[in-house]
Amino acid sequence: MEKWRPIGFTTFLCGLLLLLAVPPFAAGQTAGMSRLQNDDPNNWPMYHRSYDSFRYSPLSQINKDNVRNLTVAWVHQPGALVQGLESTPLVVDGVMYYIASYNRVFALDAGTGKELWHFYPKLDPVVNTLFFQPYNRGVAVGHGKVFFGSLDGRVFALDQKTGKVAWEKQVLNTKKCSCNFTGAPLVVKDKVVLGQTAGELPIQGKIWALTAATGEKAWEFNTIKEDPKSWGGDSGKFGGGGGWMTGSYDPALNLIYWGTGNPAPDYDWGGARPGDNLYTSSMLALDADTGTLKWHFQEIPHDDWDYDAGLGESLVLDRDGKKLLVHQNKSGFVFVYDRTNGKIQNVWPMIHTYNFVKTIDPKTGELIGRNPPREVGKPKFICPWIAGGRSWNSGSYNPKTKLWYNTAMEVCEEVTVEKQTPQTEPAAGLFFGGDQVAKHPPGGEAYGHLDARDPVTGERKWSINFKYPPIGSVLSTGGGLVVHGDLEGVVRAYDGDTGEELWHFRTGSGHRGGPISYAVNGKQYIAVPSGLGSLVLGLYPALWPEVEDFPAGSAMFVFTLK
Amino acid sequence: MRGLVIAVVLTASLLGGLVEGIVWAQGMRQPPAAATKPPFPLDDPEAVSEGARRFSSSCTGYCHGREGRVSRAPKLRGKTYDPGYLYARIANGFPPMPAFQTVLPPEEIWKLVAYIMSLSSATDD
Repeated sequence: MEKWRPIGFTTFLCGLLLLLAVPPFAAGQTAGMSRLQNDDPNNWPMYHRSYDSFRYSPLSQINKDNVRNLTVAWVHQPGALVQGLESTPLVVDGVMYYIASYNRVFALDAGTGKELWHFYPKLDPVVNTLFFQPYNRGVAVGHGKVFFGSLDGRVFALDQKTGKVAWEKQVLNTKKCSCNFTGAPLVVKDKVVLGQTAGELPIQGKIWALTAATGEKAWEFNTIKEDPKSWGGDSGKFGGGGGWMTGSYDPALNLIYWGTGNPAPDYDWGGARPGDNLYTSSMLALDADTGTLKWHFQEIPHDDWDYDAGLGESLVLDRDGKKLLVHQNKSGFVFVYDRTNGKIQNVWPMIHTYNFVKTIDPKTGELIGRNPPREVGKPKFICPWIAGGRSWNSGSYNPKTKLWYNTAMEVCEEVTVEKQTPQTEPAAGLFFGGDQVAKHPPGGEAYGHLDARDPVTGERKWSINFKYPPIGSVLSTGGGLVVHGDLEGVVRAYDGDTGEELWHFRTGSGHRGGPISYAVNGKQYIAVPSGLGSLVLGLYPALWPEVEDFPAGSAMFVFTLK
Repeated sequence: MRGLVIAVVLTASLLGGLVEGIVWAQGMRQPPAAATKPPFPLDDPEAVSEGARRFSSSCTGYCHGREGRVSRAPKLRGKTYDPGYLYARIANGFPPMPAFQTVLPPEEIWKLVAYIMSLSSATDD
């Protein structure tokens, strides 16, 4: 049975006690949590819409029969197009909240696109020196506030109604660590949880929880384990990791599931970081109240390829009496866990082209026949490429069709490992330990695909190929639709059962963000962020030189029925 | 044709201005790097070699492509640059290219300049 769970009794009881026992401000916090857990079909209240990360809207007014009548309702342009528009908008009670490059945040009337407020933070000039900039992937809403992590290492809480700063906290020493926040936070009870960039930097990346009301630090989790067996010598000091994308939450178990980034340096010439390098490239289950580690599973022990676990939604899925967690690793393999204890239930590949291992044991998750690039200065052919079998964009699970709609990339690379000394002064420098260039797979052209699959077994129902591997997120709806935008700037709606294309629209620039659906005053809308940009896009022209000239852009297109 | 060229140049200037405007409006302008002179001849083989190492470890696959081949950022092979221009561009950055002046000392930036200058006669092969 896969469905959105109602509030658990314990949570309900706690909420009731809080309402009775604490002043009105804290009562509002409880209401905020309740608001997030209630499955109002009209809203898209968090990054993946719901704590189970389904990215599924139950709305069905727009459906297979009438989707051909979609037309543009309104367009909003944030006026900042460097690195495109990578974010997923939120909609709560008729208001859209979204973030664009340079941390520009907007609140719009979701029915008309009229701006209600905007917030342009004054960013520290250090932002111009960073590798991970100027994009951002999403905000969080709750407790009457709009939260986001900034390019210069701060966390902001804006008043949800006015856009005025309620509080801001400098969480990271960005001038020193060259790290920052680019992923959407997750509001869990009275806390805001978010992870930092770190995987390509000689630092120790962390996952942070701040008190939603004040911004005070509630807890932090260091993704670099203090263990000389796991990190030989002083390599742990420069271990990277972090948790740069958005996790999931299981209210019944009170566990946050958060994937971690890769170790630094990305490539190991042999002896760069002896050990398995916990907790990098791992799935973590953390107590939501304390940040205490309940279980972990390292998907890529001693990651030699930059196949981190930081990206990828973690589907909180119940099936056949089992509490499962389904997570896409960057390697292209999908890990299925018992989410109560982290035991592997299955591992299956989304991609057909891989040689970094012979396989991964579906019973234990062990990497069989590892093939790491190790020889300094000698190019090694590796599949998939550093952009992954899938990038950080998300798939979508429809509980009605029981299918997971997910994208994949069949691309290889040539990696050349180079010894590198970690640079920490005057500020952390990139710590890759090598370079890479994209290559076609043996005997064929590189390509990408959008699949409909069973998320637990990997069984494929349909698949659509793309010349240019897609890097946009997927939406599925109660109207039986799958919505997805490609690299060339065409957004399409497919029949979720068959993959048949039912509608398309050319937005003029490629897609990297997350489409959503919502309703205002009984009318359903589909919002599609359009605007090509991304670090991984820089890897494409080696195989497809024309991508160099694909136009950048940044615009929020919103569609509704004529 | 001439009109088209003018239009392209104007559009590029406007887009550049837009980016600069955002950087300025949001308080992120870097102080320009102080003008320096190369501490070694730019065709010094050791400087070129060290610049190549620095270049390849700066994640160029994502940016300028391996050894300056094609990418989303400008291709660097087979092009002739003024060394002062290259130094300023590396030091000050240009969104989304990071500014390296706070991470690299001038000597290291000059090694990068030396390496990129060495690519002027390189082909795409």
